[in-house]
Amino acid sequence: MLVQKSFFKWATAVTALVLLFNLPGGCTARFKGLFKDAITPLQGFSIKTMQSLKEGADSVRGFGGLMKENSRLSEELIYLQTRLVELENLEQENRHLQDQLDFYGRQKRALIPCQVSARTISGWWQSVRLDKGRAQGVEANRSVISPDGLIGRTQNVSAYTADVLLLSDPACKVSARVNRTGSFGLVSGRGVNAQGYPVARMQFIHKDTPVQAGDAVMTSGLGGIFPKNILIGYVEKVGLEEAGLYQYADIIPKAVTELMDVVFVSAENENAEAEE
Amino acid sequence: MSRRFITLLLVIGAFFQTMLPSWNVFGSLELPLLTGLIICIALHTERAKMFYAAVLAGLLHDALCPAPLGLSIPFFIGLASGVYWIRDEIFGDEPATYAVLGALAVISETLYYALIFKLSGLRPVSGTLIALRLAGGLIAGAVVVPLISLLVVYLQHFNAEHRRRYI
Repeated sequence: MLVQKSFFKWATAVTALVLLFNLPGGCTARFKGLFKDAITPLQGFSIKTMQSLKEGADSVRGFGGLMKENSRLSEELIYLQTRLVELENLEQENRHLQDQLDFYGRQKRALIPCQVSARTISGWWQSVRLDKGRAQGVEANRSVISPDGLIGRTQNVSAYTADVLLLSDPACKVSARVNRTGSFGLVSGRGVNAQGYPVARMQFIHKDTPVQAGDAVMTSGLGGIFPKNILIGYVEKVGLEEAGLYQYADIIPKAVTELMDVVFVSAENENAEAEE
Repeated sequence: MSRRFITLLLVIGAFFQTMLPSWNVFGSLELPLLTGLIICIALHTERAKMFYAAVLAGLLHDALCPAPLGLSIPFFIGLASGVYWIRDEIFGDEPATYAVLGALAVISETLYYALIFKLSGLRPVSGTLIALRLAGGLIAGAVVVPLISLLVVYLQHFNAEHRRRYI
């Protein structure tokens, strides 16, 4: 009897697992969304706490350095120095916000501002999570941009979160154009280099096009996900592919390198825009 | 170890794994917190709870990354079963044991995902990336897992002590 009961327990567990592997995408997405929606507020809170701690540490570091240099400094001076550090941080933050506001105002298309709340649990993917989802109008396969340029595209979207596949991820492919020469190519991510900087490569550039280091690479608008003329990055190195038919260019994706805490998701489908 | 304690440990572990920065030099290797926790749980609990922990860890892992749901469950079940199988043959609470098990577990995890990605075509995986992650996994597993085990053992004792005080 006991053996039979144990057998049934294991059989139920195995059946549940097999069912789980074969669930349709919609069901698993909802299930995954529940997990993500539950954990994201906590992650947002931690990020804010870490930022406050970092700001505190910066102030303390400034305070410590001051103590070493001038042991005779009065309390008033220390207070003023601390205030100065705080003001500098505020000024920097203000400048960032001003840039974002200007960028937001300049855009013709509707954008949804989102906060970066976490990164993915597995390093196999180059992705981050945003604090807004379907409830705020974010949909899958929408471009994600910042004042510095293209960041990537939304992938899995739940009710209150959205995963962004960064430009540096090998699965993220963007139709691109070298701004100076007008030659087209395909940009795909190549992960992160040893220095920790994200890298991407533009392939299939015509071999006779004079592409050089420093050239700006923009989105071409082809493909229906990414809008036209958004900066992807700057060419770092140019080479000829093995077969000798095309050139490739290694790119530093500027917006991913300087990924901000606030990014913008395109609220409209680029295909719909093209159709109009 | 109660099921509630295991659930709490894994949820906190998954949360910290998403928050802590990855190791860029070693192909964006994440700190193996969930893997470490599964090793500890498999060494300190009975079979049914070990199985529960492995499934929960897999679900948490897949829910918090773009992988299809269920992809990591076979790995965590395999890891937990393997550790459970040999636990009577090894010195369970020695840091060196955790270091060796941690390094082996993270290496097998890298190989498992590389194989799955290669076979399914889910992600492009290069030989360099795998080599970097293997090297990083060896170090991360050997360093992080003993630390996690110390923390878990401490929490377990604290939990038992706390309960005893209020009985």
